[in-house]
Amino acid sequence: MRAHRLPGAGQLLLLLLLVFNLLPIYFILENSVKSPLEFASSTLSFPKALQWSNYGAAWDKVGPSLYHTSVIIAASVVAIVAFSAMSAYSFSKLRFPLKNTLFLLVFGLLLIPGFLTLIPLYLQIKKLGLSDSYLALILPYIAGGQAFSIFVLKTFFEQLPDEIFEAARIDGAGNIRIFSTVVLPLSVPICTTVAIINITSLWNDYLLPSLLLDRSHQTITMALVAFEAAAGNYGLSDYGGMMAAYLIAAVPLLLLFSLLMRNFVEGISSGSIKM
Amino acid sequence: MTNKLAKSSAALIALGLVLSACGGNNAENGQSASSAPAASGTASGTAGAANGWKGTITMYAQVYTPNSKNIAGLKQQKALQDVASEYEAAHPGIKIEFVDEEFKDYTQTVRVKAAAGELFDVFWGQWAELNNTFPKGIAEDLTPYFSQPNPYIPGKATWGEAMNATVVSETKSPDGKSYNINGDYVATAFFYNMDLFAKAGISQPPGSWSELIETTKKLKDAGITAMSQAPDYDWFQRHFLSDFYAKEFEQIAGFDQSPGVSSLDQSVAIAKGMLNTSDPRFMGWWPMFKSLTDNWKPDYLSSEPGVVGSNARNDFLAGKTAIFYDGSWLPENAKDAKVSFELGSFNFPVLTQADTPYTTSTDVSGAVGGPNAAFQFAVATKQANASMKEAGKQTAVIDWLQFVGTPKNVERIVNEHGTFVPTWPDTKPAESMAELANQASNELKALGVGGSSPNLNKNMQRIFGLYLSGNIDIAKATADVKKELDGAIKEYQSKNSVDLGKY
Amino acid sequence: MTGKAKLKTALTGYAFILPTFVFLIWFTYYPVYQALIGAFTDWDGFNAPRYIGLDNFVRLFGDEVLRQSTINALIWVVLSIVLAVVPPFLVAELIFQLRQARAQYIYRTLFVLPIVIPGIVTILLWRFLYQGEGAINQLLELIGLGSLQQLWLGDPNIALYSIILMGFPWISAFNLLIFYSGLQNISTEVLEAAKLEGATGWKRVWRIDIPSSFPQLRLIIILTLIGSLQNIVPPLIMTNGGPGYSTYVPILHMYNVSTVNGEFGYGMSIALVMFVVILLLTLVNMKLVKSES
Repeated sequence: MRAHRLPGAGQLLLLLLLVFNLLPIYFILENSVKSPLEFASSTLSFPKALQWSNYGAAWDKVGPSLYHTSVIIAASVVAIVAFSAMSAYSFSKLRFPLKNTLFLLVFGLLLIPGFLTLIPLYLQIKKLGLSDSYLALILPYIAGGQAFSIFVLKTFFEQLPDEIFEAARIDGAGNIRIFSTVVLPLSVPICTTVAIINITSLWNDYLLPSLLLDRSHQTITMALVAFEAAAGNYGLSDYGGMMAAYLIAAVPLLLLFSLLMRNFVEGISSGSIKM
Repeated sequence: MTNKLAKSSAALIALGLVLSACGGNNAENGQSASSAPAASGTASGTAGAANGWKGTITMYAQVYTPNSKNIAGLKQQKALQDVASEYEAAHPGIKIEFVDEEFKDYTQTVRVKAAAGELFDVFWGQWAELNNTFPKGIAEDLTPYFSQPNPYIPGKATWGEAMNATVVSETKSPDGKSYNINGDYVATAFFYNMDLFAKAGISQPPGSWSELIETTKKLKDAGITAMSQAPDYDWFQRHFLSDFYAKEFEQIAGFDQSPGVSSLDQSVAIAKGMLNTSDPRFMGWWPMFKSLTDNWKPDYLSSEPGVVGSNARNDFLAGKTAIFYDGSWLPENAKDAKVSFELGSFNFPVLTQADTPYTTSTDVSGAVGGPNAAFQFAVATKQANASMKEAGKQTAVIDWLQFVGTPKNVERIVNEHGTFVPTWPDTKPAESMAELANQASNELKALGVGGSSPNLNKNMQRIFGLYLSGNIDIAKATADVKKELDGAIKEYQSKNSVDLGKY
Repeated sequence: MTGKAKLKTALTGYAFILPTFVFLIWFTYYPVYQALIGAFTDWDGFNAPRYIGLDNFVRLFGDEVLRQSTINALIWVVLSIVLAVVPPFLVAELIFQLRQARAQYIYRTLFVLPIVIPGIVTILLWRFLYQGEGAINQLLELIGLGSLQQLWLGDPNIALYSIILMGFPWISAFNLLIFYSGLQNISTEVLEAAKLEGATGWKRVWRIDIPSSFPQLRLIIILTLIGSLQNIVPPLIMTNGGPGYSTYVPILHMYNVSTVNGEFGYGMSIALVMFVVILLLTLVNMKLVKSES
């Protein structure tokens, strides 16, 4: 191991940056137990009276939606990773006409502003008769996750040494077997990374679910909306309850991260997130 | 990639709804007796229930949604549910279902739902949006029904007679159509914190413009924030312009040959240079208003009301600012928030020659609010709602609208909510609104610009804010305003295919 | 390879990308196609679009708000890229220089932790910090720099910078991890060689670490470029483009003309031009930041 030495000034700087970086977490925590009036009178100071009931109220509103969101995201992300891995394998290791053109077609999607397609996409999903079901979101999410995931996985697969593929071929393995028994086991960390990146972005999606899902399928973001300064609500905004809801909404992500952190970092460290 | 937009959610609503609920319109109100339009209806009632359609009618009633669980800040109401139950009892087979949803960006929601043919059967829509903002053809033209009898209003020859004639006339589209039934009214006033006034040694709320300036100065000198909010251009222009142009009101309102100031009237007045910078009155109130805002805390002066509105309101409710100009929902909000101070209110003062030579000393305290609260219901067209194609459904929906749209029901629905004023003849305001409702009883002729283009008021607000915050001078502001007005009427002419020159 | 084998590989290649393309055609390409067609119409999002040729594009070039927005966007993009690269790289370098693996792990985890917080919270927080009596002005007063107090979001000369610079200390967790992994992947031989040549400390960072991070740098630059041009949320929520048009950006203009004015056709023509610009900038970036590896 290399021995590094960070001078005292550097250590101090690092610590300071960390404190500032964690400020939003402090902001959520201290405000999640404030009454609306106390929030309005002081945002940054520590609460005088702890209003724990914010959490109960928040749970009532967002609890069920955590389940819906989990189902939708789990199904979407599994399919995103599976299909994008197949495509990435094809783009990186197989030869076929128009390969580069097709890849550019995929890559180009990264450059398109999102809400440009909102209405056409909405109409398309309606036309397929999918509204008010989980599939209404799962299918477009699978499409939406392809470009970035393929891009990252393709870089990763290109870095895999050719020898292992040749060795497998000599053993008589076809592409399907090479993909499932050689490539996939090697790519668990990078796939985890891709999955997490997709999860965090889908977790925040609001517009599409709000248009497509009814209340019995509502996602976490839809539920969070009820806490925000909203239609017909001209009164004091209940930011305290909102912060409590944000915190509740963050718990599943927190659990996920604590379970997968090692794989996630390992995936990023594989060096294939680059250009 | 829609994910990118996800986070945007929060502010969209605040923006859209706060503005639309109170902005955007010039109001002539009317508790005053209405003169009925030439009644032509001789036929018997439309008899919707008799046509045999059975099914569920969906309705989005905004803040009047009964038994709401999902709309933030809404107390439990039952009036509209009672009306629906009565209707269901009288019309077996028909069910009324209220949409209990919070919409972040209502305009977007309506647009998208309509594009998919799934708009609610009856939906909340304010006249300016129905006439200008929403795509044309999503709401049924209700004008023909207004001139026919409403079977649920015995004693009136037509449905229109039961409504506020001025409101109906003023909220017509450029081609003379009414797309909503319009039953309530927003009042506005200066609300103040009595405790802070006492602290600054002020015993009386200001009764004139000079007293208002004096009061804010006294508060400022006492180290109290007199006012702090984004001064809404659309609101204050109506106070000042309605006063300054009071003598020309009939002329402006008459360009389109019908009472009330429509967007066509406004556009013609802009084109003629009346409501334009070439008339000294049009920008004449800006420096005068700046002498007031110079006593405010400057933080929000250059901001958009929709962006900082809830912050400014929170500041006031938390006792940080002494005066807050707002709509008639504020007392209810203060009660809900359990504020610790005593709340008072005073109206926009009547101006005198000493204040400005342009004044006609008209009482314009009621010029800001207007017929844009929540009893604003439109019916989806077949194109915007595929289920309307079912035989007899449209007739049934109109019948339900006629059932809701009676003076008795307007009164009980509006008053249960308690923050708006019912406008129809034979309706009385709720007790809680008594103080502000008198605004609605002034014979009021409100003028302003903003109807010509959906963006006009927002763009004017930008210039107004830069001027009040001292970032541009009056000359630059005037030039920018001129550019906006000219652009807006150009857009109006091309969108509505009219030639303003011929008026 | 024989012709037959080639054909088989090609067919397998197509088969492997088939699921992706089925989804893309249904849920991406078709909507994109419809949207792009819309750029040549006066579509209001509801009634049948009417073809108007290049009218939207002609209007676009005379649009003063769009011109101001574009200037703002350029400032935005440049500063965003600097903020997306420099602070995360600095922190990655600092963590990398820590002696103990355990300390490295703890710091890395804590810096990544805020990722679970919705982005909207950061915006809300900074809105409060930027208020007239907000923490920033209070802090300035406290340290005797009261004269530097500003209306951070209310002054048209600084509002744009206030929005761009919110989120101090600008440490994007993903970018941090990506840079960190880049540093970890520098081979020991390269480092040993550098040491022999006397490249230590800052010299080493400059000569070895930064050039070695170019592949990560390119990706981060492109993603930031795309992200910052598409990021409508901060200006929408904090100022809606104000005061005046000082924080207006093209995506916000496109949003407002579409949803407020109902001019989806015009909005889409703006989107189309933005797409072309993003594409060009991406290509330029790929040329400029040449990969060393």
